[in-house]
Amino acid sequence: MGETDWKSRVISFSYSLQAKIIVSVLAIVLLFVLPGLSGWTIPWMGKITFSWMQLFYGVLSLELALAVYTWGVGNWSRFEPPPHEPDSGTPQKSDAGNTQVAPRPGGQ
Amino acid sequence: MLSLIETITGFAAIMLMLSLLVKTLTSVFKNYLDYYSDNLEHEVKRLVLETTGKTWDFIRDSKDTPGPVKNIMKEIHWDRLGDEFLNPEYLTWFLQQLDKNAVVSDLAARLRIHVANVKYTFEMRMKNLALAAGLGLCLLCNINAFTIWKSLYSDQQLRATFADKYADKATTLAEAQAKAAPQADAAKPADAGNPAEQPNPKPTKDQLDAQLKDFRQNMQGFLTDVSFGIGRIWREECLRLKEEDRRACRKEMSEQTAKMRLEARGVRNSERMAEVEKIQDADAKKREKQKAIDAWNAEEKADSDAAALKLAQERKETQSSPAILVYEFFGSLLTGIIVSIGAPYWHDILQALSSLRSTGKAKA
Repeated sequence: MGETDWKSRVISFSYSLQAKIIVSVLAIVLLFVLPGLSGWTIPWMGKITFSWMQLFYGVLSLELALAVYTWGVGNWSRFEPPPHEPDSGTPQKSDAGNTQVAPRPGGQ
Repeated sequence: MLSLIETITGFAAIMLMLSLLVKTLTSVFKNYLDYYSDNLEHEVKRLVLETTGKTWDFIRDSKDTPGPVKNIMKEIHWDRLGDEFLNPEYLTWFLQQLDKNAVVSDLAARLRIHVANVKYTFEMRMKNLALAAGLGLCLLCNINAFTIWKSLYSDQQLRATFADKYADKATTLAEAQAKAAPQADAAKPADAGNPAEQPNPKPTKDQLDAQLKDFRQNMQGFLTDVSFGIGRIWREECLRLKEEDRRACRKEMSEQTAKMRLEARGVRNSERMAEVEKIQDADAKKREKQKAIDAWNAEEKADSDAAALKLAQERKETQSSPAILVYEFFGSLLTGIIVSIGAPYWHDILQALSSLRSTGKAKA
């Protein structure tokens, strides 16, 4: 039971860490790729008249605001209780097969 | 000394206006996305997990859970619920429905913690939302606190306008908004974090639209009033990494502008000449022809003056493109942070400075 609990914590943590790393890497890639669209003509938008630096500034600003929102307002900032509290005194169902993951409201 | 006080007063007035805009934007987000219900749902699910040792989703999807209980779980509309859902009698029954073996003890005390959590998390989320909205607004519109300060400090007329009329306008607007907010403190404008005091009102679509329209109008008004220190990064025509590229771009742009102006002048001149040709009287024709030539010369002079002025401005510009980017980014970042601390602080600062300014003026 203790081992399963520990493993489930590690798996849950590594999944969330993986997601965060992927998003961070994607943000860095987009920061340098999107400004490369400067001067391109996009069929439904027309020609992008902003320079590379202007697009870089725009993407950086947007990413920063979104990062603050995601960490501060979105669910990434939330404290999630551990799935089992061995000494909490509350009754726990000893169902080791059902690895519990902390609830995430809002369709996560 | 008075000029410094006036600069701070004008700066505080602009920051107060921006804070009010950020507050409205935060309110729009808050009303579109129901954060309070989300927090309530989260806390109830945590309570279920702590009491039964099973997650909400597991109980809902489990074969052992009776059908009526599953229906109750599926049909809960969190957006329609408030704190009243977190009462011991109802939740004892509800938790025992979810798990017959659950021993529900000390629920009242635990619920108090969960209610406090709902409120605290909501408040924190609203503060963070105000910060995100402030940063987004100031960075994307490129509202630079450094340039605003510098412009106010160096221009006496601008300083006087913003420390006087604009400060009054900002104070009046802040007080009007504070009065309009139902549970706001009468003496202070409502804080960006204050929606926590009235967490779960359900605005209608019309109210949301009106709020959005209000934000748009106020933003347009702000951009009209404060035309300095805003949007430089978007106005710069030749923002290039390399200085040679920048110079080449500027040269190309000035050549293009000169060509366009010449063409426009040519079109206007031919129109004038065509009008002259229609005149029958020789003397009048001669006079009108001379007028057309004078107009051409005047336009040519105006165009060359404008080109020279632009060239002088460009030469005066000592910052390189990367330096402009860094300056504008950090200036806007600073503006975003300081306007997110809330309208009440700027309101208080502005009132204190206004009284200090009037005392200083009286002494002078």
